[in-house]
Amino acid sequence: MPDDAPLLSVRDLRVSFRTFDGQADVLQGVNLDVPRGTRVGLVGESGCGKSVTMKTIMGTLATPPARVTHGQIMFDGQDLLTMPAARRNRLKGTDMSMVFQDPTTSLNPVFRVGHQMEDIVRWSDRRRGIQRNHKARKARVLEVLEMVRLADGERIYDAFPIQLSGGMRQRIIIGMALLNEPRLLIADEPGTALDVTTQDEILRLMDDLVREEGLSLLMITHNLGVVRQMTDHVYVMYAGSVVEDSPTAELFDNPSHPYTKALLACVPKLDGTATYEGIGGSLPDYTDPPAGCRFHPRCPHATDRCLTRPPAFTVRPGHTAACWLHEPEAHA
Amino acid sequence: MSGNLLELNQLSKRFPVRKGLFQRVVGHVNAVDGVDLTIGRGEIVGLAGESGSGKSTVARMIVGLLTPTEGTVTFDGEDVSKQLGTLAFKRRVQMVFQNPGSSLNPRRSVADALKVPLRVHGVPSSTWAERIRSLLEMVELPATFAQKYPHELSGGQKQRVAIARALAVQPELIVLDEPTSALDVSVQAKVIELLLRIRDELDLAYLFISHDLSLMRNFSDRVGVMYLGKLAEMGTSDDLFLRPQHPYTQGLLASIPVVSEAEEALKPTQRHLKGEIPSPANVPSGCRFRTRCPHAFDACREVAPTFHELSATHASRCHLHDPALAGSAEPTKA
Ligand SMILES: Nc1ncnc2c1ncn2[C@@H]1O[C@H](COP(=O)(O)OP(=O)(O)OP(=O)(O)O)[C@@H](O)[C@H]1O
Ligand SMILES: Nc1ncnc2c1ncn2[C@@H]1O[C@H](COP(=O)(O)OP(=O)(O)OP(=O)(O)O)[C@@H](O)[C@H]1O
Ligand SMILES: [Mg+2]
Ligand SMILES: [Mg+2]
Repeated sequence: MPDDAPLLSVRDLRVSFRTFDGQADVLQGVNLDVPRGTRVGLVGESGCGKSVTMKTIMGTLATPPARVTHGQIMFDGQDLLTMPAARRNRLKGTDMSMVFQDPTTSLNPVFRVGHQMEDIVRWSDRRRGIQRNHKARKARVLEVLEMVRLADGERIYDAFPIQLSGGMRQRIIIGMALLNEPRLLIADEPGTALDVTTQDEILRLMDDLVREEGLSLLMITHNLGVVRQMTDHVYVMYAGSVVEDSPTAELFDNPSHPYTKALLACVPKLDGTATYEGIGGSLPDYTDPPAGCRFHPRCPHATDRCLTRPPAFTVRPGHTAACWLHEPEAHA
Repeated sequence: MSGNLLELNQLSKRFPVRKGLFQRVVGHVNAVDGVDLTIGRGEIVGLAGESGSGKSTVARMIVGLLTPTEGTVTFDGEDVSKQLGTLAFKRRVQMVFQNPGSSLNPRRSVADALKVPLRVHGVPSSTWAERIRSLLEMVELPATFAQKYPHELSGGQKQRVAIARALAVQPELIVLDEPTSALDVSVQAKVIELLLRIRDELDLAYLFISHDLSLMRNFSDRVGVMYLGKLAEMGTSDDLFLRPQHPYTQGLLASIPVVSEAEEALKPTQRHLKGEIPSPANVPSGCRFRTRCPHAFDACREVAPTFHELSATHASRCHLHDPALAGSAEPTKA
């Protein structure tokens, strides 16, 4: 496997759900790469399919009702979707980790932090087929607590989650995801409100870890500010497909898809010039989505053209937008 | 000032800390510690500050969900400290919470949810249907939504119902505790626009609590920044966001994630705040912010700073504004 191939590469991923109202075609051909040692962001509004994408990658999507109808998920050169279940399970518990940045669901209030973390080490060891005693497992836990900059490891090991501050709990959750020495970290940020300083501190920590531990990061969020601060490359998702992807700085300097522009316009700006128009309409019903570009019913630039689904056109090197406005001929 | 709708005077809340088998009181948490705040009619006042700084506790005292330990609340010129939880006062002050899902009863239709406050406040039942129709119209939901149940609504729609419910009794002040944190930016934009329109139409005042400081900058007329139960700085949105004076405010603003270089340039260049907010059960001596302050000097350990009026609208609680004390210390950079 050449080292310049992405660690994770999702190709034309399509996922449908069986629902009461019929078949919901949620993912409509998602393409996404996470090159080694980089930080990649996946942004989009609630319901656009970020978590379905992530769960499909992690193999935690319940099938049924979900069905992967098409596509590949290459991890380190192997297709996760076709490999034997046992092998995939092993990968899931060792080479990739999830961070749900929601302390209330990730930490059990009735067990001590150390106990919960050691459990994870035990599970990950079992998946790898190794065995360590309590002392060695505890050593690993303390090592990780230090990695996430929790100074007083011994005390935290014995603490219950409630005895720790929100920021400390966030660090522990990140630590839990590092226990198995993953190569890919997937962080799914919830909509809950962290204060700006805690958020900032956690983002910096993740950033340091990615660099120091040579991790690759896939960060899922609907906070565009966080994406701008934290990632090297961004994928913008709308209604089940990637509508724009670009190096991060370039995306914010030169947003090209009408959806990306509309989304950016909704973010209140620090210069006090907010307008509150929002985006007219709402996400489509996945059991009966619009033909062609799924954004066209809400798009100010929509034409008949948009009834045909646009491919990803190159806007600049490394920057694509799936919108007919960017069809090369249109510029000539 | 006579024109104020709401005046908080040295408002404080102390929670007992209990321990052990017999739940003995072993200390106190000064969640809110002497807050002075005014809100004018039709004014939007924001409260910012890190998690645990006491914002929600202030809000909960105003709407009568918590009883103040000390201090007074004046509403429309009248001392209402003793009436905070009463029906008569609740009619004038309503609250909208962060989580639109959990604040609505899943087994109650939208119409039923809106009837509750009407019934409680003795609005004649003959007018309910008409009232519900106009409330839905006010929050821009189709009249057919009256028959819907919470699970049929999106997050933004639920929040509109929660706002309609707050409006049902024609309050003068609505406390908004993170009303849009659970919503997408596009939905948030529409809810904020709605809140602004209602404010203009009904001359409502809002107390607005949020961690989204960019939103606060746009939405609020004035903003107070809380730290460990006390206001550190208070001013107009322009005062605070263009000319932040308290080192804590500067640190907070430096951490805001923004989406453009132009905004980046507006953030204070100060280093990011280090360390954690201390426990409110164990507040540092002198200035409570000194343990994290990049400018702290000797006096900060010994003397608690008072508010310094920097202009008619702008005040900051920091020794750096006191030439006698700060003479040798380095000045703050705005
Ligand atoms: N088990 C399921 N059955 C039916 N539909 C589902 C199921 N899981 C997800 N969906 C649908 O897939 C769509 C995408 O959901 P997903 O959870 O991926 O959104 P998201 O982008 O993660 O949103 P959020 O930002 O709110 O987390 C939604 O319309 C959702 O209703
Ligand atoms: N019922 C209670 N009993 C004991 N302590 C409490 C109680 N309610 C709040 N506190 C404490 O009071 C302090 C202030 O809490 P509050 O909820 O007002 O903070 P906040 O500024 O609203 O924070 P956030 O941004 O996280 O919502 C915290 O230290 C909190 O733990
Ligand atoms: Mg999700
Ligand atoms: Mg709160």
